[in-house]
Amino acid sequence: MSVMLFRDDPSLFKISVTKFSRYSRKLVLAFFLIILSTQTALGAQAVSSERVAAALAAINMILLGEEPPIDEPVGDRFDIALSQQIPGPITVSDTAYAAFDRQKVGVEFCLDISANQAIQGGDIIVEINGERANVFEGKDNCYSLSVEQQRSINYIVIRTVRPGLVLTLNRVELGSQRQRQLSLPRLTRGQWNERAVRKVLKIFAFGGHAKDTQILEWADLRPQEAVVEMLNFAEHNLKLSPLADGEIYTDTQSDHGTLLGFQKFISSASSNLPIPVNNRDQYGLDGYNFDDAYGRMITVRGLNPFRQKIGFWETNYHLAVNRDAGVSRAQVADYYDKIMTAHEAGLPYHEVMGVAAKSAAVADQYGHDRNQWVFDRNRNEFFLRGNDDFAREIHQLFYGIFGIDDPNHEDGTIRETAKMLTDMPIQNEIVVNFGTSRHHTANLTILGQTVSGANASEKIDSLMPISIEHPESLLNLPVMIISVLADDNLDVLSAKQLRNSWASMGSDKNLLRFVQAYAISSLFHSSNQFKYLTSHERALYMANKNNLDNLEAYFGGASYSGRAGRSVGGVISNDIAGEFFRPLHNVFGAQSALEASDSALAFENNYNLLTDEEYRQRDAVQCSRCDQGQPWEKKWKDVLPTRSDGQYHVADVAEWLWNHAVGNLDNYTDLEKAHVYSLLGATRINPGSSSDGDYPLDFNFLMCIAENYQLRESTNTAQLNFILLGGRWDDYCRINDENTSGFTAAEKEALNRVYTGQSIGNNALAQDLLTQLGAMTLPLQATTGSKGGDDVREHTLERINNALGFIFTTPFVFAEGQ
Amino acid sequence: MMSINSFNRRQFLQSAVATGLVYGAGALPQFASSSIAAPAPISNRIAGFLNLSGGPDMRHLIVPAYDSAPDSFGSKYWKHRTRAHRLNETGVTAQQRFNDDYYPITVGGQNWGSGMVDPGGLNTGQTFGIWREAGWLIDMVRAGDCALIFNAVGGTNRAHDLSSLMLDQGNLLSGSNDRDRSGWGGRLARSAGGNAIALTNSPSAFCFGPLGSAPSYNPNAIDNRDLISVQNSREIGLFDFNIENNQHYDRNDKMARAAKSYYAGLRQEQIARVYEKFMDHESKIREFGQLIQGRLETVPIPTLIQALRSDVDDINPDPNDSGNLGRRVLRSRGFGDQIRNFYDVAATNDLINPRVMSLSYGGWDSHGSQRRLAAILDSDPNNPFENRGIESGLKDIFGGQFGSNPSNSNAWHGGFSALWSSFASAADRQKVVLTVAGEFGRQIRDNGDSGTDHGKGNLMIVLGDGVRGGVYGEMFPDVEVDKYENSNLRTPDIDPRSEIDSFLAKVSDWVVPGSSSSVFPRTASGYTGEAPLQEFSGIFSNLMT
Repeated sequence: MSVMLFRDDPSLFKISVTKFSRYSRKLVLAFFLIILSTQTALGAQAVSSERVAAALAAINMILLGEEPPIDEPVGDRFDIALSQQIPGPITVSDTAYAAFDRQKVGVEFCLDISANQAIQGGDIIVEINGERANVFEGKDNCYSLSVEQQRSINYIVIRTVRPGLVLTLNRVELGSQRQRQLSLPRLTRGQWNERAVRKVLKIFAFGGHAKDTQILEWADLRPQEAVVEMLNFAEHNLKLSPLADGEIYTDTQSDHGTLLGFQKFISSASSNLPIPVNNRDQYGLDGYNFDDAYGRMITVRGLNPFRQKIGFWETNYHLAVNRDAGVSRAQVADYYDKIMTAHEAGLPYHEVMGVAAKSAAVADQYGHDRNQWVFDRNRNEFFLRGNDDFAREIHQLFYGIFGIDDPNHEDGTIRETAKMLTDMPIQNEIVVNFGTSRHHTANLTILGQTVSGANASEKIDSLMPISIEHPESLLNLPVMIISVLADDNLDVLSAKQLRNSWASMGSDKNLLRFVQAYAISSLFHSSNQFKYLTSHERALYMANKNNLDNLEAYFGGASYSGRAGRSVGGVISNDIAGEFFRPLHNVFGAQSALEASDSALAFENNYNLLTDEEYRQRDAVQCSRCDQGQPWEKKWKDVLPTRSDGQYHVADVAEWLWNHAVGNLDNYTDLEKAHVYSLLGATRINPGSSSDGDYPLDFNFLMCIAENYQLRESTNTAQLNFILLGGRWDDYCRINDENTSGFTAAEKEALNRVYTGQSIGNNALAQDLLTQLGAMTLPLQATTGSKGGDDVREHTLERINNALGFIFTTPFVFAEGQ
Repeated sequence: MMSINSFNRRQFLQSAVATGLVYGAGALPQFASSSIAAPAPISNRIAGFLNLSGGPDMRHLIVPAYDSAPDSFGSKYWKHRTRAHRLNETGVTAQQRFNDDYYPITVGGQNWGSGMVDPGGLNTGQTFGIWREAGWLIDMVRAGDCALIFNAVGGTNRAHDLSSLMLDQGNLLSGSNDRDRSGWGGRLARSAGGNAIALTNSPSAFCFGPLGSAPSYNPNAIDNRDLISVQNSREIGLFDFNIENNQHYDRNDKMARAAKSYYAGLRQEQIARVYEKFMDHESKIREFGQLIQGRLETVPIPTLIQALRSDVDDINPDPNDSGNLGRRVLRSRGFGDQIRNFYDVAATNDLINPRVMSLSYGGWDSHGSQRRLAAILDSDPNNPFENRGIESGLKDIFGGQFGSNPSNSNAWHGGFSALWSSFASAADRQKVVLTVAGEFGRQIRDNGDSGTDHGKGNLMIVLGDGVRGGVYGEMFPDVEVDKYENSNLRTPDIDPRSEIDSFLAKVSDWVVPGSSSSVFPRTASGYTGEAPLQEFSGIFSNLMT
């Protein structure tokens, strides 16, 4: 029996066992019996008792599924039961082992390991029932054993090999492989890792602003513990959106967490903001950049990007209202805040939808603020003066009730709902006055049930709990939620699981609990799930991955005595994706993820912005007086990794940037390294000069230079610190030299060459250059050289921004999936 | 916890053939050249589909003549559409409204063209009116180039999204969980061996291609290898580095080379399915962008089309502003952009082989104030900035004139009118057929909010030289007369009598002979399910010439 253990990657999280089916067991048994009987027949005396015993043991194992016995390890034993956690610490100076009985379910054994000294490969040995397994110093060493892999008694041995090495074990835990939350299959502790955390942030929080240390802390928590910290409706979530170190624009960490509040803050002349006072009016409730203020609300640190993610979805998709349909800014802000306040208060979802249904924004959007139940003298009867627009959509859009197979839906439910929505005129723009004189006060039959109330408000309250329990709602609403928020590839089975989960909440269906459970479920983290990013999501995600402090978020790509930050509104506008609160499809929602993915325009814009107009990305790294008259510099040095030498190595920075911007390293191969390393490290070397570190080279150009250098200098070497030095850096792969107009044929071929990861891996020169580049360091803390190091730091920051810009051109920022 | 570097996860493709299959580069022309300095004659038939999303009230565009007889359709209609036409507010009578604002045609009589047909003779002597500001439509009808298909249905319910799905897919059997099915435009393009061109900001489901090759492709799956998005034909393309320049200094050249090289390399590797679309975009925009730009450098935008979307001297000047030399004609600039894209794609048809093009015009969900009146219109009836409710859209799409004897020779050209007039020759027009439809119609009675609520049946339109013009189906069904006053019917609408398959199949066969059985499988002779509804057998047999 071979056991292979994988960790960290959910897609690899399985134990491969040579399993025998019942059928194959019989075949093998027959084989053994034949061998045994043949050997006995040939000469019983020739068959040793040991061989017979071994054969019988093998037969026994096959017949009974039992393994040959193994000796109990020698060392310190600690017993552990299913669902038990031993907090620790457990000290191991030689050998310790955990023991547990066979369980009826697959199990996962996890522990954190720390050591009293630096350890190297092979210093620690872990054996699972006698089989060696991978181990490392750190948290969440997790090992899975399926039911078939378990023995009657299981031993997990932890042993030190090196004398003097003492291990400390913490959080030793035996859990079931089948964990559930709201009836959804929940990731186990071993499956929940940094990659999973980053995925949740990418999809549910526009990437968020969490620091690396926080991401790792969340990864080390149990998923059910981490997700409540990551995704909640508080106005401020300082773990998800902490202020940058040394941040001077700090107000948002404790105030201005509502849309209206934020707009007042960002448009106020008295606020502590880097935006010049004269430029603030535009972001206010009456300003022309109302939507850009919202984009900044999502990118500014100190608030809660998840709250805004849900707020955006509610008000632009699920319960969409549209400024182009006449809904005012004040109504939008009021609508947004009321919905999110209801969510924050933990109201059941049907009550949240009741809040929306009773809002001035919705009444204005659909025009039922004009609906009246009035008497017609000519016809001598009451009649509905108004439309049935929202009377239809409150069922369809809010709950997913289409009236399929309900013959009374069109002529019954919708007409009656229109009567419900009478006498609710808007007063003072955001207040709906629920009257009775022109309201159909008598009971109504809607969705086959009696809806009562003296006015529209009371009737809406009466209807909402009926709606959310309607069979079509139970069927459609949970799928509507997840299919727009997080999964463009829901299959029938996943949809069924979502419905079961939704139904499991009974009459208190809570959106937050549902989203949290889904975010840590194996549905979301499966290889089947994928999600295209809308233009809005991508713009916000890229901004959050680009911006490092609040000055950048407030600037948002604008230039106020210097450019900083990344534009959100510009991306959305250029993609013709519809501004915030101006959904492309009116009440049917903003640009869909599928539309965004199919939009060649969106791809083209992104590509050209980061190539033809790369300066927008590159330039936004420093300014001399843009920070209220003071200088500002992009804070890459505060977030990029350094080694023990305190230096920023290109190899580390490149990997960090990729992981930061993409959310995983699935597609980080030699191909990606080649391009990112080059943009970061291949540059003119001119110490002391203002051009030191300027003019970065792309990989093709670098290869062209190196090959041309080798050709012309008849050498096999290509030392970058020589080739790119001073006045030599533009001597090779140079236009109009070597007696050639333009580039030589070889140079053209090199500049246009197509490299794959494989070809780079097989190219000795490329490998040599990548090794050199990876070992280079980035002088982010330079204080010497031109302008006291300012110039070389600026060029370094620019190269980092270019490298990030390159990553933003790749397919991997347009979607999330495996 | 440690991060993972799945270095080996990405598998390398071993051949360029496989690359083409993955990314759909098979749609690229083999020997395309953009060197011709003029619009290319249209060589293959092309179908254009304008989706009027929101559920247009086509009974506002084409109405029955007012009739004083109380039990007549012409009486009931106007009585129950008083508010939608704003007659009560303006004091205008129904008779006046019809006389002033609708161009009358009597089937077989007044203004009935010799080439027009009325299959089955269902409407003999019936007088109807076409909204006068839809001048191009009127002229196309009179020319016998417009089929008005009554009692048509594109969606079997009154829900926007589901009915839109049905209309785009050309499949009234589709359900809300069938979003991964192909569109009828995509199927038609595949049958033609050409490309489906989305002229809108993002492609609609109409353009989504089926899986596999014609004629035996799978319509219930999507493969967009021959879908090309042309949102802005004049700017399509990816920035590229200029190898004629010194490469040491221009950073945008370096970034462009890095990105181009990266995509080219990545294309030879297999990445997760979710990212393939973006590889496809990169390939198509780069290739087609170069081709289109190469051609259009020497093909100016025709003045009439340019005037749809921007100010052009002497076209639609503001009568209240003597200093104004001209204004754009359309209220919707976006629709003007689509018309320009249509023209440009046609001009480059030899390069990109368009067989289907999609357009869209929204704003038809007219629950309230579907006709908006503004005082400015008295002095400036062509003011493009005034919201006139659905009449703005009708004017944008159908306004203008056509032929040597137009109904209004002073009308500025609207969207289709400008396109039709800008084609280089009659031969080009003869290669194009246009279909116009919304996902559903409206109820026959207006509501209390000067609008109309959702209904099922509606009028759909097919236009082109290849169309046998006339009226198809009972224009104003007798059975509806009783519906108007029947208080037991709370939401009466137009009964669906002809499902889209039944007439679009004819359009399909006109574009690609023999294609209808694949594009609209329910019309295939071997189809064992319920055949698509048509008002009477053979009604559409001669829809196309």
